[in-house]
Amino acid sequence: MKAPATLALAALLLAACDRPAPPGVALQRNGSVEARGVDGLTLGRLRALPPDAQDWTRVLSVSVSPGLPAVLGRYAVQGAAVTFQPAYPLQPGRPYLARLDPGGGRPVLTARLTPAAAQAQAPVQVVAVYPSGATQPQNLLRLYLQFSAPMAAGRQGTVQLLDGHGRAVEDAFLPLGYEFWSPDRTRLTLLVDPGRVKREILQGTVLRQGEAYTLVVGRDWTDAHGAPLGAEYRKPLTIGPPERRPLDPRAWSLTAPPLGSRQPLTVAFGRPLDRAVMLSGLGVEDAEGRALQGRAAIPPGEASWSFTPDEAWREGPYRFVAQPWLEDPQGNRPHAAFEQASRTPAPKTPIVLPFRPRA
Amino acid sequence: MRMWVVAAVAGALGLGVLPGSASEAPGITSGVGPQLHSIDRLAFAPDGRLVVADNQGAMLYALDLERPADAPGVQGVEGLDRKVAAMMAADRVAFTDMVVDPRSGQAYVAAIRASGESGLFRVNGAGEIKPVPLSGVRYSAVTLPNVRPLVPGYRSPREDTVTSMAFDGGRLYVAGLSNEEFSSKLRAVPYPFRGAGAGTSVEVYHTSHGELETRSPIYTLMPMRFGDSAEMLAAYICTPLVRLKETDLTDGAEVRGTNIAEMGRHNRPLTMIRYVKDGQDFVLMSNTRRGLLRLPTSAILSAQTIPYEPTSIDTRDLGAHRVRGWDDVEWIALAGDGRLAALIRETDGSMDLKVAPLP
Repeated sequence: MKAPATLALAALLLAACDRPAPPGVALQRNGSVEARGVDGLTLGRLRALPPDAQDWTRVLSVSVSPGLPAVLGRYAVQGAAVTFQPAYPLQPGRPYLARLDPGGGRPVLTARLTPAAAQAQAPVQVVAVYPSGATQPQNLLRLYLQFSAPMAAGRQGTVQLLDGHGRAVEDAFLPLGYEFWSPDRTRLTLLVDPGRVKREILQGTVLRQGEAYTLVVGRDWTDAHGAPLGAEYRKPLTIGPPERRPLDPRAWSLTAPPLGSRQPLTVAFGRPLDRAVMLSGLGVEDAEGRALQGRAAIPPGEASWSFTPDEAWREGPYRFVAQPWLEDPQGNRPHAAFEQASRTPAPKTPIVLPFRPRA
Repeated sequence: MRMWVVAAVAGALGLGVLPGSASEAPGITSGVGPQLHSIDRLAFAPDGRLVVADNQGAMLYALDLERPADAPGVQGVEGLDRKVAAMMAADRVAFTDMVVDPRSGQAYVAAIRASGESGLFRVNGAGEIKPVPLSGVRYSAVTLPNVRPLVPGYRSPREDTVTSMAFDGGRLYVAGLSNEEFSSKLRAVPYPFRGAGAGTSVEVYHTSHGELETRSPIYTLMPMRFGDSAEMLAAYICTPLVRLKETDLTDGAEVRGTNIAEMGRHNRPLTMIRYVKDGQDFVLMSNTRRGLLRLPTSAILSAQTIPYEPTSIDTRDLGAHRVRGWDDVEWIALAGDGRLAALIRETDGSMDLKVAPLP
């Protein structure tokens, strides 16, 4: 660059410093808010403040709506700009109100800031309800709603159980509170009111044998970004006889895989078990008691479990292990039915079925 | 004073071992600036520290909060949820708990917004809402004792939610539920957190009752003396009141509780507090369906055991009086000077902090 041009540019920059840029507020890519055009005196005063002092909001504030407190965050002076980093991320697609008092006798400016909405994604939906079978025992205790994406914290939508006439069954589910989610907030646990599952106590049961019901998950459920369920979800259910037997490991049948292969081990339980508890409570160990790495699968119906090891099966022996917290969707455990007047101690040790791969 | 709260991002599961924190004993950490994954239930410890249950991180934190210099006491706030939500850059939040600091008299509320981030706020005697900064706060923390054994190779058993906490006799009693098993969890953790402080996990069974009642989760706990016997009064969902002897709550014990009342079906108890008014000793209980129930403490102390028997009677509530005008109450706390602080849902759906004379 030639010397005269450099001088001219320097003069321009000096002039720019003398006259602040016109006031303006804009969202930055990193989620912060940047205000320009604040007068030098104000900037000097702000520099002395702690980053979270209330006084910053007299110059720059971001709020969800007029009359409500400002969004919390940390402020800084960076060069000639005032920056604000919200303590909680601004929500995509939602407009916020920014207010800037640039000082120096210039008028207060307000602006609407709307963080870019995330790329349009398919609306969240119910992808499955477990247990998955179309017919369920009359004393069904637990259901899981599996959503396609993380759902909103702190609130739930409606779930209804309609009888054969389309009437909602009153008080069908236990009022568990709103945080009965899996850690990733995609799976919600519902419990059929056990006070009405139990035989002797209370009038009537929720589910009546031989009748048809429809489980309805309403569109008022919202995902973690506030978007509603794409469509109402309906699952027809027919109610069969109650299942009051404890789980009986003697009735389980294990199909050993061929030696040297990576074909799955399969275990059939003869009746549906609780899917979530199967995922946390079933595994395969080697002769030294080390858990094998591999992939577990649960076919629809939840009556069997298969395990494909990462490495080919060796001579063995191996052990199929079921942890003592294994349950069916009625709450029955190994050797302990859910509903029994005189309690027998629940098993404390895992159930172990030894096997060797087939030669 | 710092004016913002550290945003805790829920959903990012951590095992709670924090960078820069000194490990003092198995399961115990301490340091400055806790990185909580979520802020769920709250309880003030006898030493004045605030204990926070972090359900997402499966940790309990004891926080040395700065003693506030502003107006002591607590004053009601209309639309508290909207105002806190605005500070968290959201339209709505849910409150996961509220407690009153017995030293300052200020109310502390834990809030969660739909996308899962938690915040801790206090309301002072001038009705001002202040964020509670955690960045410079000293803490000690304990990993929640596992109620399931940790089995290598199986999915982590951290699926528990703390439903209630209560201090007595140098121990913190922690009740919880699991989002998979239907069962009652109660843990006793030595306080202050120390040594092999992981505490104990006990299984609670009710006198003469079957599996259904015994595995129902505890939703609120309160210490109470029955003559010379130090006990916990526990309210379960749907809504048995049960006495549990503290001396029975030892590691691995199977404890038999004594069922003394049934407070109503399809109801979830939220909080119990005890107070004396006009020379009369009362227990006050907030509920999802039965509103605010007041029981004479003498009726609890002299209540007979309810034997298990087939019955269609579902309420034996010891002459509980339903307090009028508080039907949509959620969390309650003693606010000093004979007053009650309560989070209460208004007809327009917003949630107020109401402070009023004890009933």
